[in-house]
Amino acid sequence: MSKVTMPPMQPLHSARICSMDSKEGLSADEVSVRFGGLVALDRVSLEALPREVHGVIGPNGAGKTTLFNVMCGFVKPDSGTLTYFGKQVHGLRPEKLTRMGVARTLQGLGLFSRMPVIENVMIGADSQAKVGVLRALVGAGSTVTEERRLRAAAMEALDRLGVAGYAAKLPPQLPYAIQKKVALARALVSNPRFLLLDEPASGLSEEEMGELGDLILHLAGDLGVVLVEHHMDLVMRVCSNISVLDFGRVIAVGTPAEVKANPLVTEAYLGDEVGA
Amino acid sequence: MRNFWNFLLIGVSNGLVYALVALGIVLIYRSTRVINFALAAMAMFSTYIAASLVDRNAPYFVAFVAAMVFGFLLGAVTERFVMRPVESKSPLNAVIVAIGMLIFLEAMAGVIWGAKLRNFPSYFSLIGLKIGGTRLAISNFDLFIVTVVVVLLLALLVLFRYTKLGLMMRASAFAPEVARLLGVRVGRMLTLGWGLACAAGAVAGLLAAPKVFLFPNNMDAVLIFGFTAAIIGGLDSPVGALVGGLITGVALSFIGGYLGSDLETVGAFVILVVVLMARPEGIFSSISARRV
Repeated sequence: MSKVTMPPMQPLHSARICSMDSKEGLSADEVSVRFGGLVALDRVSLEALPREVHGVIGPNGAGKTTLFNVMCGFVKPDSGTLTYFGKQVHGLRPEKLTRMGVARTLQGLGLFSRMPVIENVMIGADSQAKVGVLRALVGAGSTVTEERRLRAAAMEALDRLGVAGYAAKLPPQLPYAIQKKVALARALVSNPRFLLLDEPASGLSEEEMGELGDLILHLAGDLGVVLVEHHMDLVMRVCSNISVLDFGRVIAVGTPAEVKANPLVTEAYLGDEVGA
Repeated sequence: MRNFWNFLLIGVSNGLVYALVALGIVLIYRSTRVINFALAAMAMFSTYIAASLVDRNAPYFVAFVAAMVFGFLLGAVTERFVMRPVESKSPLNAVIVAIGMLIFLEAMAGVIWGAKLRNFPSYFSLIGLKIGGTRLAISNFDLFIVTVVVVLLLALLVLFRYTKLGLMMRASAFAPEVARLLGVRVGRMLTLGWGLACAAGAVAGLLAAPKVFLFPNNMDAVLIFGFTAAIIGGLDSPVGALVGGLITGVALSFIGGYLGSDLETVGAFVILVVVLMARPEGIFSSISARRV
């Protein structure tokens, strides 16, 4: 099993001028989502900040994935707002939000099984690039250069996660843990400012989970991470703030220590394990 | 024996036209799961545009390119404004809208250009080539067909395999939601896919017209042959469309040559039924699923 190697990171957004208040990020405010009669989210608020890991925990069916779907644009909230650096972005489609810097990984990974790993990552690469439809159709030389540049960017993203050696393979040929890294590389290749990770630890071994924790902390040196996860050890280790959802409501927000000590949380979710 | 070779060559030439139609069907089916029955009418309409231009003394190749561009725009506009509203509904809605579009365009062509059969010029001679004193059944125009189709297929291959645009189109076709999440403007890719498919259809119309003449539903039979080819190829494989087109073209040429040309359409249906019974997933889909 290859170890995740982490070269010293340059800030990815050094070129971007961040005039906004540093205390701002991606936040959901009083968001409600109903599916027919079922209330999936009931006035849920969450504020994710740059360079922080924000955990979202809660029992199955608490609305964690629905909240993610709202935050990445898949689901339009029935009420409430989504703001991104002070700008209202609810109702924007996922491709738009992704282009603005909100990347997400999926629980099911969603890798294209018939495309080699490198192409999987290239799809996500530099979505801002203006690849003119006409130019690509005419097949101008610049398109070829552009393609080469995207390939290099994808390779670099794979390399950062230590899976560059699998570039030519098809995803189904690879072990699950490698596939997960490919999916993560694909989310990171667009240089997002926020990364939404949907159960990144599921299916990983103890050791791989340790690596993942290191990686998340490392990523948080540069971007905001929102983490939906069931593995409490990982959540408690990497998160600076945690929101606890239960039946579509936020029942607690706070640091790992605060959340652990909250009796409501203990009752709803953590059960006896907290005392142990 | 000479007949055999002649039928084979004609079959290949016709088959390449069917392959273009099949490709038009496949490009749309694999990205939107809609069988675009309107493709026949779109091809016919584009061909009429070319014919009108030629009537006004435009050079053949200008008319050819203009018809392709028109086909592209017609496909793109149809996807954006006619198919998009029914996209999220049941697939049956889209199929019915496509058939409605077919009827609408054929009626419009009748209104604009009349329902009469007319000639469509071909830049190249339709008279059989002579090799060593024997006259073959294929003409310069057939060689033109081969050239055009091969160039077009190679251009599409380059687009899909070697450009970011093609990559995004493939991603949109396989998993639109995931593609969105990666920043791909899926709607635009679908519009573009319809445009390309209908441009291919327009070329098929231009290449078929000198042989089948031009009238408002001149492409209906060709669509059936193209559809047969697409089914043989597995409906979502461009390579399958090419092979399916060649198989259909050659098979129908032999049926028409040896058994009588009235039986060609019947032959297409027989092939269709046999393929659907024996291998409903087509010849190529299992190979592409296993391709590693």
